[in-house]
Amino acid sequence: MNLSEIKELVTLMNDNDLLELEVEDGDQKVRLRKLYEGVREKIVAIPSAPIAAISAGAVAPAAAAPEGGTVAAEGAQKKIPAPMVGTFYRAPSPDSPPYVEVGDVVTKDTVLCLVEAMKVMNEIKTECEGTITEVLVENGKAVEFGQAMFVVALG
Amino acid sequence: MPGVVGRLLVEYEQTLSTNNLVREFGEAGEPEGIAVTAHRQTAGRGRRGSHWFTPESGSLCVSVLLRPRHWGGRMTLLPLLVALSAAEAVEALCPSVAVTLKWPNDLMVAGRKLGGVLCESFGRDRTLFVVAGLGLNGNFTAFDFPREIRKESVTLQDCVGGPVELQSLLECTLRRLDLNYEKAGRGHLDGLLENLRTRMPMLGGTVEIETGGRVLTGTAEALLGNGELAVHTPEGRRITVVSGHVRRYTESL
Repeated sequence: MNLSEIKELVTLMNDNDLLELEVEDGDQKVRLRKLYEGVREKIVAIPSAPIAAISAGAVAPAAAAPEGGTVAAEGAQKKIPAPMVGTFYRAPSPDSPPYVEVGDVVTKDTVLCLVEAMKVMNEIKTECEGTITEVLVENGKAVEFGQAMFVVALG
Repeated sequence: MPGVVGRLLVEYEQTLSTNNLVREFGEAGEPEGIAVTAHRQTAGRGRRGSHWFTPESGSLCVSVLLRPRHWGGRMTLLPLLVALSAAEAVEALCPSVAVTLKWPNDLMVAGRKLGGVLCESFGRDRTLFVVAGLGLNGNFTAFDFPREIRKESVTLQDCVGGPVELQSLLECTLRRLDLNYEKAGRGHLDGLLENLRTRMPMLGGTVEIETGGRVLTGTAEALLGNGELAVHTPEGRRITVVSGHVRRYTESL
């Protein structure tokens, strides 16, 4: 049962003031419940266009980070800084290949790495377009706030 | 305002990973508080892809969509808040069981692991969302575990000597998390931090932590405001640990 099917069921619940709904579809069974009476579940997708605009604009805070966080001008390169203190991981799991390698062409939505802090795995995206020219941190090592993790040749 | 976490609970009979389903909700821009649970999770994950063992059924697995947009540095408290909420729920339903927390994300009973939390964050600023996943060993026995983790694990059924009402436990956990999440969101942290500290017997004891590719040994001195662990080393240095795996600890309480 996918997201849009679930949304349809939520609409059905709202329209009929239901707190619980169970649906069987072949061998799949799904139950929907509201824990709090009187809470009308709003399933309203945020339009995707503004989100894209915002994430493109989000490159700016990265530039505010200290040490290596600044967009280096020489040869139109950008260093991708760690947005937080934590542990740097190049792959989603120990037996998966790295998200990116040197030479890979990346777009702003390319996932570069994970930075883990307090068992929160934070997925870090490029937020610019270009080619990875350097990986500056070894897998599993600690990173400081603002420490450069990758170098991207822009363009 | 409370009434967020668990506003909608989606229960699947079976799924690959509840965290992945909630991630889809998050990416579609759904509002926070939606929870997804499954009676059977066939590809559940622990930290960094380590396989989270779940038997055929009897585990409690739930993932919640959160959007802690204005939390800033406090976001690192989330795994602790989820673990605390689950510990409170277990004790409310099974008063004979005393649940402690192992920094930063495990639930323990008498030194054995009862469950764990895995959070994943995606996007940033306005698009930021967190998938908070909880797994608890419920109605089976530790003998069902693979041999290598049997000795370190415990289940609720082992603790109380019979099956536990997992449905009520799930609801209670979500309600507790709703309250704790709301408090933390408003910056009312003192009470939460105190509750966390009293549940962490490792505080004041000796810890051995793998962090950033090295092993750190010292006294676990304090739990700091964003959930970090302050460790005092034998050389007299005070180190703030935000990322690490506690390999061993002695209890002081």
